[in-house]
Amino acid sequence: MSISISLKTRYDECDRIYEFLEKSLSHPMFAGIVSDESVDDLKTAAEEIFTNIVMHGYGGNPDGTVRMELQADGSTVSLVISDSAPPYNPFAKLAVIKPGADLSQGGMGLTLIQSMTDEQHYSYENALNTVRLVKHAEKR
Amino acid sequence: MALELEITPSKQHSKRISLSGALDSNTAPDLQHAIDASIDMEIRTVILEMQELKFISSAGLRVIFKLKKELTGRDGQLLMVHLQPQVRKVFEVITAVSNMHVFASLEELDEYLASIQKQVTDDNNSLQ
Repeated sequence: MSISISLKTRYDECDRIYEFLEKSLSHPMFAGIVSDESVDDLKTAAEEIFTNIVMHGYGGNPDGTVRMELQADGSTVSLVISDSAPPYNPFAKLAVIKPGADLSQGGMGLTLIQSMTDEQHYSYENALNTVRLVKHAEKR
Repeated sequence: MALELEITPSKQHSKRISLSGALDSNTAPDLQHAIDASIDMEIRTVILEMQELKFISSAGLRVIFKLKKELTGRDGQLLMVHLQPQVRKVFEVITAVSNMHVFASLEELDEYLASIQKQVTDDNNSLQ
């Protein structure tokens, strides 16, 4: 089973992302997989990926479309984010914040995505960039 | 979530910014505009009250680190208090929290400010 939402490439769509994740992850199919903390983690990662797409994929053009889909698979939840911008792998660069880096210039998004999720995958197929972020169920 | 801001004078040469809602790519420009309009060169200390800030992303972090850089450049400081779980975790991930002054309560913040003021007073007395 999966739940999805379609978003325009506008920053004011962020609220819809949070609402989508909060409401969808309370669905019984995610029971036992997600905690309040993991919901926050996915919201953080989703915002970073979405912002990346809007800024770098569409250059701020508000007419693009991003699709987000949540999938449950036993002990994992996957957030699949796809768009039709030119091919761009956000994970191609190693996310390293060097000591003394000037963080006022940015460069933190990828670090947050990789810290908030357990797996990050990228593919480009059928003219679609597809990012899959995976959270494993927390061990008890 | 929208971002609501309340900027109030604190002690001399300092201001308190109370944030509420979400500080993300959509709302970070609002904080930057408010800082540009309210934090002038005379301000040496800025306190970010984060009790009602439920979410932050790297866009928000950029604005905060820019403010910290400006304050540090004039021997000032940026202090943060009452970080909520998602906000605290984001700062911890970036590992910059060790370079930031973060307080669990207003009482702890007041004690720190009092100690700084005492240090300044003692330094002034020793010069006389």
